[in-house]
Amino acid sequence: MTNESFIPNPPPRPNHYLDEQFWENCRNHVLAFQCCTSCETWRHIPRFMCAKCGSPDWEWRQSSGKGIIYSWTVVHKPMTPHFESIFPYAALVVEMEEGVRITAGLQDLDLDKIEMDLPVEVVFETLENGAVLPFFVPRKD
Amino acid sequence: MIDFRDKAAIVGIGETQYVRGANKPSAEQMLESTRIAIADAGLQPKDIDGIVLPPVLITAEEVAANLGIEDIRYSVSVNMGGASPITALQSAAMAIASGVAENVVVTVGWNGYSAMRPKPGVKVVEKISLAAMERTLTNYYFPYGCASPVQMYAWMAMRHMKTFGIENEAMGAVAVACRKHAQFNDKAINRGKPLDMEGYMRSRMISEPFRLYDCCLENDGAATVVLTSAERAKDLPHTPVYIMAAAEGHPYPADDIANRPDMFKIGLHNSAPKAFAMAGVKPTDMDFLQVYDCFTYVVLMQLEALGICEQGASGEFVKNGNIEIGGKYPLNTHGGLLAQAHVWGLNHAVEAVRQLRGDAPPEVQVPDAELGLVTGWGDFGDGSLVILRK
Repeated sequence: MTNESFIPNPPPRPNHYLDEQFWENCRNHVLAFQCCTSCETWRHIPRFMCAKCGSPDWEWRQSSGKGIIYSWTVVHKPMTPHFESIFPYAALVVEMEEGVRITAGLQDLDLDKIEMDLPVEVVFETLENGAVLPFFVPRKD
Repeated sequence: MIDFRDKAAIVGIGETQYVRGANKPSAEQMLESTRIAIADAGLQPKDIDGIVLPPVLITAEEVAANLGIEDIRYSVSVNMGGASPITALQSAAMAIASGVAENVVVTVGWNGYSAMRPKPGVKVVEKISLAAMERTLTNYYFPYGCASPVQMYAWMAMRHMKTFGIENEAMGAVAVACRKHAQFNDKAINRGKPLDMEGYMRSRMISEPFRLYDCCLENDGAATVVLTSAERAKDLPHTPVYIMAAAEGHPYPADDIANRPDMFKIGLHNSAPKAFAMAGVKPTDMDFLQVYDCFTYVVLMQLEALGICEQGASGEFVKNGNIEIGGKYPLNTHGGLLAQAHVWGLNHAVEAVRQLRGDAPPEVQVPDAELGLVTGWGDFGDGSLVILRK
């Protein structure tokens, strides 16, 4: 037995259509989150119903792509093939203007310059494995 | 709420050796610690009529078939990751209090070293897949190189540190206390390997803010506790250790750390008030604390969630030997997951029983210990709590 079975390897592995559609949007360089069409509450990660009002009705809405760094870690021990070439690397939690938070990678910022509430905006990075992932860069505005 | 205070007691404990390379399937190890625990309880395998287990690793049917238990009256698996064993104590106590079962086994064991991340030269006897939270992990965390709890819990720890100004030395104090206690535990993997603050600060960074010595051990091994009714416990060989209260708790949403309205609110914030109310005691009444310590920082967060210190005050709380033996709140007197072994925290319950029986090694025995707690932590911050007395 090898260890391949439990060292997870990107790309994302959707379990069903909600995750598939989220990642399909990313492949088109669109960062979109679900929004409840009944009470207008945004949500992430994708869910089948609105936890606030109970409605099963929702639609994808494009995010402004802007947010702030909510938390992060800097990883010094690579866990997956892609990141072996770039460690140490940051894994962020970004709070978007819409209120949802997303886990993401970081570009164009020294790792020791990361701080809470730093304004960032989304870019899309294509990995060797074909995945197109949201990453964030410091906001210029 | 059902009140099962003092209706059930832990009467037997058992552990395998904790090793790196057991060369036995986890089921075989669990049966070994279970045989020891049933004998320690002064019971026979056929007396067991309830079996409570963690997910995946073994079935109640397999336990029963090996031990010759013909009539299982109650069996259940708890799916809360590392919080499963302490939640299992709640389930066992409820089953006993309700009369559904009388003598219940709770066991956990695994090849956490040789099957989770095989090392060169270590024989692999089985493959483990832990599927909890799989959808969140495979879609939203793994693609960013976050493949281990060390990175995911780091999000909680980093924001908590920055918000409350907690220093690395607070994490170090937890690591040093656990390592100190492990020096007196004959099953501790880190016995003979003392650690001071300087050594802690020198250890290499894994995933900020976690250094190597903020991370628990990886090992193989199993532990078991046997519970029975308060009436029957009086006739058994050891001082009964009564379940005063137990409760489980989950953060919200439990399956995604990033989108919690309050990232600092963990499962233990929900379970602790219920358990303390049932037991009728206060956090500050405890003679010792056995706190799930997969990483140092989750200990700090749990101390705050228990209410034993204010939110943001855990860094001060752990200073000056307060959590070391001889201090006010000795913590993980066996060394914990950080320095004894990782047995999903059921080893913390075993240690609590030893303390209340007065059977801990003299160097780490809390004098006149009468009351203590054990927490469990699992998945993305699930938290269970059991309060024990002799």
